[in-house]
Amino acid sequence: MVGRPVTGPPRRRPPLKAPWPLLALAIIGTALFVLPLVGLLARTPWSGLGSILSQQVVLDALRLSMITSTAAAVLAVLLGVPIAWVLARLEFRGRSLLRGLVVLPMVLPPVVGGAALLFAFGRRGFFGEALFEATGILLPFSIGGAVLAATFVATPFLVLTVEGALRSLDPRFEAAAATLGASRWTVFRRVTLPLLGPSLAVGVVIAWARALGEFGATITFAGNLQGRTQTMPLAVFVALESERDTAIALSLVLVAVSLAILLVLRDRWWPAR
Amino acid sequence: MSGLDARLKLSRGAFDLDVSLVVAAGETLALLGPNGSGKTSTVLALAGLAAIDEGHIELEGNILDDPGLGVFVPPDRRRIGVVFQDYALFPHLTVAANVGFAITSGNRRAPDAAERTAAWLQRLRLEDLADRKPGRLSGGESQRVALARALASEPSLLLLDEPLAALDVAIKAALRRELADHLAGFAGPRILITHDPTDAFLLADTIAIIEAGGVVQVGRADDLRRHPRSAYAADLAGVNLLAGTATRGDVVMESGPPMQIAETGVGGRVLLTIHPRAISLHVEPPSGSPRNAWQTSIVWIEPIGDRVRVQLGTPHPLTAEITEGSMTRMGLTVGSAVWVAIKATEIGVQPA
Repeated sequence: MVGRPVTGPPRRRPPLKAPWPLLALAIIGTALFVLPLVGLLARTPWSGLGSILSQQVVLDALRLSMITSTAAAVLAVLLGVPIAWVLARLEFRGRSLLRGLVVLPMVLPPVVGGAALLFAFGRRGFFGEALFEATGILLPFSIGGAVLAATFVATPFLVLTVEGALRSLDPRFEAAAATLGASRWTVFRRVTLPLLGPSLAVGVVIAWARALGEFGATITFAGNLQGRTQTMPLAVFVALESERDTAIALSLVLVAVSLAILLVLRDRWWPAR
Repeated sequence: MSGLDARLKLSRGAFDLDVSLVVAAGETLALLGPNGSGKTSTVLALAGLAAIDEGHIELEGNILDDPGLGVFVPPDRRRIGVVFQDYALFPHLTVAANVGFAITSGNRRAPDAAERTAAWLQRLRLEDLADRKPGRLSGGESQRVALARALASEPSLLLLDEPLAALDVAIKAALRRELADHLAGFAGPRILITHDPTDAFLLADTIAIIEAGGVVQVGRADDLRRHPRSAYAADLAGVNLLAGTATRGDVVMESGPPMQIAETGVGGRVLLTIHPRAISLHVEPPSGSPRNAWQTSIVWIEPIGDRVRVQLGTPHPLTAEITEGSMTRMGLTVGSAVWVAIKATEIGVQPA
């Protein structure tokens, strides 16, 4: 990020007085975001944290969360980048409809998404039955189901990020590559994709974070089986009922991961002034 | 035919392009016109980045685009090397990889790719910059890389879109000369897109003047400068060019009496540009500020619109432009003796 060149003494600014209704609401709003964090930290059993986090149920959830969100992020790239390219580069009727369908999971209640996945890919589902008969693969209540649920909710974020980046890409680079004899596939592979690099990375991080936090679609479609489909958010939910300290410790891990993600995205969302 | 033969017709909203271009191998055609006249559309249509609605594009006997025949060859199979405005070098690749892209784009495993890339880098004096990224190149260096990249694709036609527009005035003259050498080294037809008459005059054999989507006049550079057929062409291309050597505001001309210029900081070989309307004609010796004044006679008179272009004789064979009214008032005809006056501040100077 490029800072403003420093020349001479800092410019004087007229003092800005905030109107009190704005200030009061801003303070209340800030409290809404800060107080839960304070509550979590206040109740954290700091001394027993190590032993709580080394319980089998916690380790299982941690492992599953890492596997499912990473697999979902990979699938989001594999499927989302081509969708983004189609949306950004091809002109066809129904493009808005396609974008609407792809982005729908962003606004759809995740439970509904999970239910829809069940009706489509469940054992008696529309495609699930055929899939089971043909291959013996059952997605619901399997790690594959957890990955599918996470991919379903995470991919739209990647599609929107990459489509925006494709649209703002200087078209002359792709044009130049074409005149130099590169086919469209070569142009995509050797020019478009590398130039997308930074935006693609941001899209991957957002998709991964969204997959990590997924709860509703996962529990509906993949269930809540420890060691098989119970990811961190599900483990937190279960632990809240019985072992409060475990829930807090797991939440703390998720908060730490979220903060790390914000750190990665910092330049993108808060460009240095 | 061995060169380019194109008739480009296309509509983009309210803008209509209708341009005919014929360029022989080994010849440079400049397409001269201001922004919005249709130059960019021409580049896009020739390169295959836009399709024409009517007409044809034929290069070396191959039809590249012809809606009537249902033929459209995509850009990657046209063999047209384009030097884009601002060069469009791939920012994520080094200079060598930019040039190499042109060689490996169609066939990744071209066995001699490394040697061919090295040869082009050497030809354009880019060996020392081979590992640099485009972000760290000067304007002149970027131009050489863009040229090397376009030439390395071994095109049948070279298309240069405002290759000198992004450059500093200080280095423009040197790079223009260099560009002239590289153009001469390319055997196929060359098209130079420019808004600058000086570039067109110095680099092209033939100039086509484009206005509002159509070519209004085509001709050899000298012909066009002396005989523009419209006021538009006159404004754009009817500029007087004189060469000389400057020292602190005095210019010794290649022929004829010395000239005075306002810019005292320029030295060495220079090119003076004098707009025909900056030349005033007088029956009596002029008094007042003009420092450049001499007597000559009128060689020919040519009306364009409500103005007349007056060709002056030795010592400086300039073309002046005056209104019909003042011509009548002074009673000027072919053969009349006149005094010529040019203010030093009206003379454009650039290093040659």
